[in-house]
Amino acid sequence: MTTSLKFNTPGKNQRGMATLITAMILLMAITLMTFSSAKVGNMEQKIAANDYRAKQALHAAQAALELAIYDANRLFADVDTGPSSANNVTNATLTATGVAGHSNRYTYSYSQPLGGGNTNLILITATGYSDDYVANANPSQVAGASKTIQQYIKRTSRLPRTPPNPLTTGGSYHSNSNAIDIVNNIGPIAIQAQGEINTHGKDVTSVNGVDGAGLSPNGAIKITGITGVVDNSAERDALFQYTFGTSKADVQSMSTPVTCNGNCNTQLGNTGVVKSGNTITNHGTPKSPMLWVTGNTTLNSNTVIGSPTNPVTLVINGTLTINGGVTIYGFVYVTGDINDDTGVDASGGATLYGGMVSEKSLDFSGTVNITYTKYCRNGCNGGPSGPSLFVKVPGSWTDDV
Amino acid sequence: MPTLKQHGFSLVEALVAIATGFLVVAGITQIFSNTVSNSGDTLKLARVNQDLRAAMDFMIRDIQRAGYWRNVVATSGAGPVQATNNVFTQGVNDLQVGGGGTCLTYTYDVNYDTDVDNADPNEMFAFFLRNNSIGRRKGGTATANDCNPASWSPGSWEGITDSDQVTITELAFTITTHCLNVTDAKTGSSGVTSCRNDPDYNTASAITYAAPDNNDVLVKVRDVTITITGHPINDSARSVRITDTVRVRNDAVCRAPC
Repeated sequence: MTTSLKFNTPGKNQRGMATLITAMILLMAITLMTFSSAKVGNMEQKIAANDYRAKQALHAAQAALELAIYDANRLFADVDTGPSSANNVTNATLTATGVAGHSNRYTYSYSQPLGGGNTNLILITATGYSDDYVANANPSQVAGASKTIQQYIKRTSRLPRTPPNPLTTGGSYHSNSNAIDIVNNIGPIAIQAQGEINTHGKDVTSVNGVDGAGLSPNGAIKITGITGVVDNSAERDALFQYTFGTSKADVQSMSTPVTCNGNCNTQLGNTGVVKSGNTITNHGTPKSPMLWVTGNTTLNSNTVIGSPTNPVTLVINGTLTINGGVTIYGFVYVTGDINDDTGVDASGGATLYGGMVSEKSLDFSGTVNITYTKYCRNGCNGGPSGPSLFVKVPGSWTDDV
Repeated sequence: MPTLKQHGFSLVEALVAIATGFLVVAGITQIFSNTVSNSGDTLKLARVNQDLRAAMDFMIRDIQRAGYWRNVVATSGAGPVQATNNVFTQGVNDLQVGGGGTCLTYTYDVNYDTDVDNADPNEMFAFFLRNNSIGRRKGGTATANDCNPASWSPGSWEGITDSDQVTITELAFTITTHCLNVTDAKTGSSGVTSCRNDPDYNTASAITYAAPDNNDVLVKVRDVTITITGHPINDSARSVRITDTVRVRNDAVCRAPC
């Protein structure tokens, strides 16, 4: 009876209302404080994340820009026509492959401000995206960050300092025939040699010829630019660097490789010097690629390499032997034999319109005609027909797109 | 119904209870005040950190635009590159440090014309330290490399840090220039090394290169290193220092002497 009465009147003997209310108020206050501080923390995290993603997008855009320049050199630098050509890509949209979860992180495109087909000047527009970027995000989504930058690139010469004379050698120059003509109709020097110069008593031809270091032939001069004897690899590399403005490895990587096991008539002759991708294809029209030949090379059988309007740039990583009527239009660089002093051995009707640099000695006999031309006048200095390289135009980077 | 006889606390019980209560309350108060004071300090430091970082990001983002010129390529005709004519990288308009290292001035093209404007739109920019806060020039009649805000017209600059919250004690700019002579490879072992054309620039080369001839074209690649030091206002003991480096995207191209 009494027990049931107690149950029926629960409030009568209970206490702790004040404690309960106090505790609840305190709990609520603590909860509110926690929420508000969590909100501040959350906001800070969002700010930091935004900042991080904005930087990520900019860096991705910059990476895309560098990649676009690399690809421009790979795709457009050696060809007559530009991105509009069928062989090439008009607008390259690139997604990074092979990086899991990082596809679609940047895109780039080329435009030709000078008009279609003219690739002397290219405008690159590169866009980078943050890792949380969502294309066409709806309002409920986090869109992520994107950043677009622009940069002009311009075609320039791959031979930044074209030698001012037809023949340059790190070794000696030796000729044993009166039928050898070395002609420079543009400048004062015809031959620069590190070693002895023997012209068989015959003057080489040049404009206002210079008597170099007491040497008897007019227009021949000892090299003064490079000190020491060019018989160590560092000096040879320095001569290469001076000529091409970059290292052998760089130039090799930019060139079309040619392998011809000794005789290169077929591979280098005008029927075979067209670059398509990374392979040599047979094509009727001579073009002007940059070619890298590995190994000692012989040319003969009336082979013609290049043409006046499409000169070649040829690097022979080995010795060069020319005989039997060979005509070359362009620029030839010969590294020579690393073990002895053999560089170029020319005899029997060799004709070169352009210039030649050899790290090792030149040995000419028979009939040899070398006439210096500004083989790079159009091709190398911004024209479409020479071996060229795209560089950034200073002052043209902007993120105000 | 029997009722229990009720007792109060004894004196000893009451004393022990009160003493224990005091101890507990004192301990809790101590912990609470420590927490509040620590979190206040943390908050202040975080705020300083964030303000400094924000100012740094703002400066970096803008400085990398220095030297931009829309007309650097003429997009008609043959499209000659006129990098050496870029007024935004010449003379007083070029990126430079003034005010004893506390001020950086630069210009870039905003309205795509050929001259450097100082009014509307302003194309002369500066970051500088003034009255313990960082300011940014946004106009004014002064020349591009003027580092004295006091001499500028009113309203021509604004603060980018809050002087009521953060005291900036140091703002330092250093420009590192890598210069390349693209006209002529200077060989030899004497002369000034002001503009090198050195194939092995990054190696410990003993070769020094001669000064450029007049009219040689020089390319200058610039990095700006920025250091900011600051502390919460009225709390100089808690100082924050951050350093960052930005590569100026537009290289300066000029003809020697420059």
